Amino acid sequence: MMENKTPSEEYIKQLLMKQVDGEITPTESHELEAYLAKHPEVRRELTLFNTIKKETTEMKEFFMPEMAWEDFWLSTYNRVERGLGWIFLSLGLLLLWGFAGYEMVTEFISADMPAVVRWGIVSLWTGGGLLLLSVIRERLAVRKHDIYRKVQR
Amino acid sequence: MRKWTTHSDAEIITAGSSGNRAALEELSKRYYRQAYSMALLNMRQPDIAMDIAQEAFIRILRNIDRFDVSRSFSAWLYVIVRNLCNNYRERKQKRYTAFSDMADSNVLESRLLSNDDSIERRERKQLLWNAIHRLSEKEREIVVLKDIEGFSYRELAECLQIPEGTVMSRLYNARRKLAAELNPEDMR
Repeated sequence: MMENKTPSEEYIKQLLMKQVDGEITPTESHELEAYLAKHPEVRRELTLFNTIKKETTEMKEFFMPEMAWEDFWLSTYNRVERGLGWIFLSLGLLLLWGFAGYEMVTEFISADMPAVVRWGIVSLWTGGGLLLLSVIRERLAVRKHDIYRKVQR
Repeated sequence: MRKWTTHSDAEIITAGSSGNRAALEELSKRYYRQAYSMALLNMRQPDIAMDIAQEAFIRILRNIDRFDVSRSFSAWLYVIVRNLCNNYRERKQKRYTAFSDMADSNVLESRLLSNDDSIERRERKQLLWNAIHRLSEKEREIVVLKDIEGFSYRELAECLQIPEGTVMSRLYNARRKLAAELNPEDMR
């Protein structure tokens, strides 16, 4: 490929990077070596790149500190569990609340109770219902702006 | 648990997709430090980074069956962490920019420079750290992913959605700028 024409600057840049990052093939390495033999200034550049690479890579130890994996896993797992816990808890409360409401309504219709108690119950359940609707509406609005909506899965 | 240590990522993910908890634990064990480091480099605050790393794994555990095992897990993890970081910033409306104003991170910087290094070595680290900050966001991202996270060209191309040729060109430009800052006399 390289015998009869000078390799392009872009191609040499790519070979330099492959060399620095250890992703160069033997053929490419041979090509680069031939080019470097004729261009000592590029060889100096390669030496600098190798130094930069080494120094940057040394920062890795700082950014990947030793961490207790068990703590990380336990904490992550707990968060998953708690998410499920909240779902079941909410479901249970909803079911019980609905059942209690049903019982109250049937009792309300059949029972012989004073008007003030009757209207108190109506008011209580209307307020509760309105609050519930308001929370649901808010949750739906938040969902539209879900903080994780952009997370690709 | 131990038996998964010798398996490939693809095998572990396939098992994890079928609900094998030990396989998922092994996957988490292999990549949790990388997730933390990605988040730390992006957010610059250790507590937030840990929170995001855990959230990333929660997303992964929930969606592991959707992952295409022919692709790079690191690249997928990076995209999730990056998006979680972006979402966090958006949510908190704080003045963070991905990989862009890390120079302001006094906490992180002081930790980086406060080990047992010699003065000369610390100065050199400081120079490199500052030089990395002065790169453009795209250049900084690619240098960090390549040299600190250890991504291959294929993984970089995959997660940044650019051709491998562009990966190498961008790396070349970034490293040349770093070299010019650190060794100006050699780059004339």
